Amino acid sequence: MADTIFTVRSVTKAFGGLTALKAVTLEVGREEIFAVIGPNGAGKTTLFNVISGVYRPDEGEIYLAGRPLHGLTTHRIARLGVARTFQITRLFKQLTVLDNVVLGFGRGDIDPRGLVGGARRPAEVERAKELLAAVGLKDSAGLTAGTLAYGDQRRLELARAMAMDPTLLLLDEPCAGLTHHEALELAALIRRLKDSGVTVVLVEHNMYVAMGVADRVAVLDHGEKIAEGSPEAIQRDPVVIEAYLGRGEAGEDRA
Amino acid sequence: MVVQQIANGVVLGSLYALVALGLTLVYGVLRILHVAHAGVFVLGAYVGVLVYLPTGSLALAIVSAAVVCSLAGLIMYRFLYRPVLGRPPLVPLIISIGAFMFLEDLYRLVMGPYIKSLPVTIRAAGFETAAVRLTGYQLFIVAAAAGLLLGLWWLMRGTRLGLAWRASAQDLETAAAHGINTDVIIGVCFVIGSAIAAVAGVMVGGYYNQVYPSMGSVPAYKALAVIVLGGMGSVPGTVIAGLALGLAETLTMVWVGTFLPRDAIAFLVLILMLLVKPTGLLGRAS
Amino acid sequence: MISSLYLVTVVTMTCIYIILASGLNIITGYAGQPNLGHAAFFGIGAYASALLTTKAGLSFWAALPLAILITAVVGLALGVISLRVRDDFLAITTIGVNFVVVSVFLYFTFFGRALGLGGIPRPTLFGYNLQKPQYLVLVLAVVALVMALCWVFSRSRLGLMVTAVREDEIAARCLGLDVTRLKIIAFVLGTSLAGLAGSLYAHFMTFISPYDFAFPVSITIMCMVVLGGAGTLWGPVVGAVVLASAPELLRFIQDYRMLVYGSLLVLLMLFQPSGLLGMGSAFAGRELRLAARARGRVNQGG
Repeated sequence: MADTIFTVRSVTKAFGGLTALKAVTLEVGREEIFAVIGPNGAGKTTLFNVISGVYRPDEGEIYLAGRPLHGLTTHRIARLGVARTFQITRLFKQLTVLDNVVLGFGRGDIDPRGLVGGARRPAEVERAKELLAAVGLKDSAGLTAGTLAYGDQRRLELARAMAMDPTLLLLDEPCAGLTHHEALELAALIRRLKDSGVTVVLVEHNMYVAMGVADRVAVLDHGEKIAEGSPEAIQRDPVVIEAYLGRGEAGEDRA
Repeated sequence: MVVQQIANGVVLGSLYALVALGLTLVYGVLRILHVAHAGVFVLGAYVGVLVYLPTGSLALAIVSAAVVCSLAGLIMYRFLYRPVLGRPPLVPLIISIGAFMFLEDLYRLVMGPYIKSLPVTIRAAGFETAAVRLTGYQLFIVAAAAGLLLGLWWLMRGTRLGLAWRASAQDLETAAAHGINTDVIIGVCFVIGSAIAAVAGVMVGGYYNQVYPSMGSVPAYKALAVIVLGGMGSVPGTVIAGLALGLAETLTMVWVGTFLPRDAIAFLVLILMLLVKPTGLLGRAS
Repeated sequence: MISSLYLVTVVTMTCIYIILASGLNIITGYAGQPNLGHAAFFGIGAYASALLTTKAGLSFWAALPLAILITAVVGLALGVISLRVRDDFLAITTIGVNFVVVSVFLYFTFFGRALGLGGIPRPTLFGYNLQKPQYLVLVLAVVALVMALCWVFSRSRLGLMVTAVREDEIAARCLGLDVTRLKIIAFVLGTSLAGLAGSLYAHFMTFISPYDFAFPVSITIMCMVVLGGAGTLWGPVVGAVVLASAPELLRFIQDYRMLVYGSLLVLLMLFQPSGLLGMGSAFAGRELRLAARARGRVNQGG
């Protein structure tokens, strides 16, 4: 790993009696695609919510390019260059597809010119259309976001996140609900993002999707990191196979 | 003097608790603020007048009011709230306020704008010592409130219906997925809540010997304050909050004097409390 | 027979309602925050302006901006409350604010108690005392200014951001939007307009009483916003014009005012929740209609 740009150090988060994350540590290199996988309820989405400031960590530290993120509010974290998508899409449904993307520009800064000028500067409209074209939504700019089909809503979320020009992009189960073909297209898009200089962390329930796109993989189980390494190493790791398959088979035996 | 005020506070608080219970039952399962519930309360009072004056029977008046109001509650659920389930909370709230305004004006047009008297007499003896004096009717109100609350408590804790209600209040969709007919449960909530409001309507009308179209205005919004103070959807919380408000209102009259009108106290307490604990007195964190 | 002075009164009141509804529209329509106590801010503006002119001896021209400022400060406080208390709870809190404010007017001799405040002067301009018809010209000019302001807001980046907060708060935060500040801005803008309307009302009537600002007035303003279409620029104007003038034009409605308003609210929420100018309405712009039709298709397909 060349140089670390994003660090999660010993992060713990509990809800009442349930510990969703137990001293999780991750180090992600610049322009790396890093996948966090694990069975349902392993704490993957909680991890994203802690990183993006939706939840506050009980313990531990998070750094992006040396700057601490832990304890900051969500919008401050976003302004430092962290963009994310959601497992269940969260679009501004009554706004147009174009406006959804435009809102990503400037990372939420209230530019004094924005108070009196138009909501969208011509340069922004151009750039938004490019981003929409990149995710395959070229012809949908004028539609209301809520009218899009589910797969298109996921693409729009990605374009909106890209509009923030993020240093770190968090993708929460980007392939959920997509067809096999769409998932492949998305994987290609994520690789292109990496080439343009973005560091990507994605969580996936589906281990094979994650393996196909990631440079390195970490495995969460019951809130703990149980393995980390290259996709090949992870696929052979007996601890991981136990976590994914062992208990699954045992469960089926009992059922 | 203070003991007397406490006694008066308990009577007033019992009435608040009865009116607010219907709101709590509905809020518990639907997360809807049923402002029009106060319209049901007024309907109960009018049915009480219409039945009591010719027959002279308080029991008959209360039972008929309960029956008519249960029906009215069901109709409201079916035609006002069921079509908008799942919409943002402001939609059913505005519907409810609109329905309440409609009902108030309807009562005025049908029954006339003037105060009707409901001169209830009751044979039960009063209670009188040096410190406190309660009329038989006041005792009857407290006893009836306590009886209804105990009955409701038994229904919630001791029956399958109560179990289904509590499951639905936890999570309506999961309850439905586990084979509970949530539509029936919600319907039952409206029936029970409306029947209790009807009883409260007749009792309040009798207590002040006044029934008039806008008698629900203040209870409508004060009951909202009561259920928020009680933690939204908690039955014991509602009872405690109702009693506490009744006591607070009568006691501030004694100690502080009328520096603010009685009706503002509920909201003043409410606003201060919400700032400290936004989920209500006994509320669960969301 | 309709006298011209009567007509002047109706038009002036309609204009004041347009300002009130446009202010509430910023809070509820664009920012999506329930406010069922808008009349309280109308009242604060009116009482502030009345007291500043009658007791402090200021002129209308000095009292007006001060009244707006005072209202905005209270609006700021409500904005801060809205950060802690949400949805239903916020709706009830705003109802509570309305009751408490009216109680304060009713209970302190300073505010004239139930009698209200009288002897509020009409403004003078170049040494000339404005009477009702001339005052209407002033009010019309203010309405034009307010609508220009709302137009700028509705097409500004700020307006777009505030709408994003309404649509999805968490997503907005994750895009770097300062939701806290945006909500407070919406509350301050919306309540400032209510303060402005209050000041205009006080100096038009020259006499105000606590009941002019009671809860039913808040409901009336909410009706106007919802009828016309919350979150649209012209919706509140249409709502205010229809609801403020209908009882005057159709006298028989006057007696059934609450009956009509109540059923209107219910029917609108059931069948056309986005209002006359909102999404899916026959009166809405072409784009909105297409979007609504597309949404209908998706719903049927899914």
